Amino acid sequence: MLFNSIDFAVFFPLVFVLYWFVFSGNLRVRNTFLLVVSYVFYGWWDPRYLVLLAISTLVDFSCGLAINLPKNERRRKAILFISLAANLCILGFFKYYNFFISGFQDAFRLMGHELSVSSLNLVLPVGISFYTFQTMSYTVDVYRRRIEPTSDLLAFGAYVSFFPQLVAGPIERAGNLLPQFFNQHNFDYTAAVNGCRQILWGFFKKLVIADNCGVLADAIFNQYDTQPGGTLLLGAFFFSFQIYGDFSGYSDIAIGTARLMGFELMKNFSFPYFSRDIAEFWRRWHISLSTWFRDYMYVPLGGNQGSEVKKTRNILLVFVISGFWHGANWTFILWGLANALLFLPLLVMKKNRIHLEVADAGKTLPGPGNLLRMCLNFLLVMLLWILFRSHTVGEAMTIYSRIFSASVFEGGAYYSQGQVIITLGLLGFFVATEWVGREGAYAIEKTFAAKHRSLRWTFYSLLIFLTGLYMHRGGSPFIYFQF
Amino acid sequence: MEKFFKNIVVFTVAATAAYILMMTMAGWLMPPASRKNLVYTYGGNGFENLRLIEAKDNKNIDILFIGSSRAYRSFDTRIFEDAGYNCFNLGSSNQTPVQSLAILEKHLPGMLPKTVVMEVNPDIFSNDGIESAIDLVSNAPSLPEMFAYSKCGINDIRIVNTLIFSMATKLAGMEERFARPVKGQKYITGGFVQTEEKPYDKSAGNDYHCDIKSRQLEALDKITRLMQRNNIRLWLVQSPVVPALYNSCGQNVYFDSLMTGKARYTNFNAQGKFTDTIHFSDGQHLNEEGVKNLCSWMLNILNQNPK
Repeated sequence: MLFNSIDFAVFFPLVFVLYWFVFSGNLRVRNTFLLVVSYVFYGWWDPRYLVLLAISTLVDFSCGLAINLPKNERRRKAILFISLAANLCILGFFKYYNFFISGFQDAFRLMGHELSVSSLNLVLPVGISFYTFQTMSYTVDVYRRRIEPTSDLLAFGAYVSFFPQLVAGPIERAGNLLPQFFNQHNFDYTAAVNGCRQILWGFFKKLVIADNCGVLADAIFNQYDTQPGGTLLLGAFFFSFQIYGDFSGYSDIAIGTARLMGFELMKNFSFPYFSRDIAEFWRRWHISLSTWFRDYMYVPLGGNQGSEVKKTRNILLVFVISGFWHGANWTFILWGLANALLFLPLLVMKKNRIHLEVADAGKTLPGPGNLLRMCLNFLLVMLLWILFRSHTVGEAMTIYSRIFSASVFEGGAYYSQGQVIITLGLLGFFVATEWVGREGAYAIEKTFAAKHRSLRWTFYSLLIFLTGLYMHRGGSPFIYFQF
Repeated sequence: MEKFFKNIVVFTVAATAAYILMMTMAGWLMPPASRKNLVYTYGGNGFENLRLIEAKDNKNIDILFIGSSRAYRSFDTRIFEDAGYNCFNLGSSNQTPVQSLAILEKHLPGMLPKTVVMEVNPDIFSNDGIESAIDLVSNAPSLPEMFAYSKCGINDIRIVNTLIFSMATKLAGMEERFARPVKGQKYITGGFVQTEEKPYDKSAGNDYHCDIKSRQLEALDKITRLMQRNNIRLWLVQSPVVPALYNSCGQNVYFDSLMTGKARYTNFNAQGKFTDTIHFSDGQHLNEEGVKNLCSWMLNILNQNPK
């Protein structure tokens, strides 16, 4: 079920009312209800794939309990291995099987042999990368004795399948989310209003910013081989806002929806386009995935300890694998690698943690130095999104070759098209609102917070009006569903 | 919780009022090209505003024509009147069966036609009907009619916005101020639209789709049942398009068989009697000569085989 669908507009209010008025009294009843509605939410897309969700849940529930039993470290490690192998096999089969098969076939062909293994017509189950990572983190944390395993299958099932964040994150940690399934929740007015506000902003990001930018980015990139560099650069600009609005919009709706039911999910985006270097960008973009890789891969590999070679290896591995997490395509691997190559100089010069606070906190406008850093960093990120957006490495290289040529000064006619001007105007409003609200958890958390209610409500009404006037029709799915 | 629900209700009311006010102001103050989801076609091509007003004065007619611009630009009511048929053309821009049904439900009791001639073609059955609903809502002569046409079973923000703006503009009596200019077309009493004679323009009218939608077929089924209940003859007519466009659709045989199963059906493309440069003004619309030929042919069929 899509957040931006009539189905969800009916589903969620119904769930909300039933949750608070019928099922919130008893924890087991409440968790059963959450489990059922989460399975309905997921099964709305294709009920067959509920089996995978159930398998992942049962494997990690059982492994979590089993890891705690033996005192023998080798046996504990073996159980952890079973959990990781089961999850990675499911993920690997559905997401990467065809990629590896075609890779092997190419390799064999180079050696003069034919490998007669055919690729499969597999449908990637929605959200599989998200929930497998979430369940794996549970087993690893139990293995590390950071959390106690749960013996409550209902609560664990509800934790894995919790519908607001099931299909596109945030990728939650058991340490944060699982205990909330064992707590009685009382309705909190402030949290609920905050949730509504974040949902509103999330829908604005998705329906107005992401979808309109997406139409233009698609129109440009679908004809990348005939467009001049200037137009392709504009396409990259729109795609940068499409992916940000789409993914962070989903996270805002997910966090707001969960908050309306008394759950607190982790923050997933923190104004990444106001970052002053690539290290800061990665602390602010898809935070739940970045921290997952930090905690479950980078740190176990040694993190930033040891020799320069080891540190470099760790960074390269983490970025390349996190790129590969996004999809079975060399473009994602190269995207991860390119980010690593931008990050490494900062790490080597120990400048990767110089921008920890929000830029120009307390000021209305950015200082010239920070403005320049933000613009340059955005330009770098935007250029890397071309790799992410392209279907093949060849396509990306063609786009780069056009952008880094004299044709980057061509394509002016495209810039003056009505739809482009409207979208640029909307982006101006969006960026200004994000800048003003950058010290909050999300952009409009504190907008007019100290002012009279009528002013606040007028602002929210303006957002609704702009959504109605400029939303893209057609209900496009969220980009990150495919991951 | 009580405070939350109370504030949600109050906010919903306030935000709805603000939305209506802002949408109306946007329509009045912003240039049409800058308001993406607010389309207002009052008085535009098709003269639907005049047609819907005139329709109310036509009672007990022999033939009622319905359909898209291929109906109001092909079925010249003057030719049928001259042949002794009292008729009216209730076609509208891009009218799909979903809107035809709404129009019939509204006008059938007053007009009480003996025969309804409905223009059908694969292209219009492939259409989502939004453009047509917007046209009807923009041009409806009264608020209840606007509301009725907006409910053509389509969930689309543009129709909601057009409804809000049309109602506000109607209440303010400012429709003419925001009317769309019409070029090269003339409204003829009886609903027909005469187009300025120009040589065939092969670059126009080529947007032809062929992906028949089930909801349009369901609407046609409802129309056939409505006709049966009211004992009205239904004649499904496919008016001609240029041969290249017609042949570009791979579903013609399927479409013909579908229509034949629904009611009396004539496909005027089938016998290849219409030629691009002689009978058409663009890919989908006949010129004066083409209109005369088609109407004569239809009259022959009507006279020879009235049932």
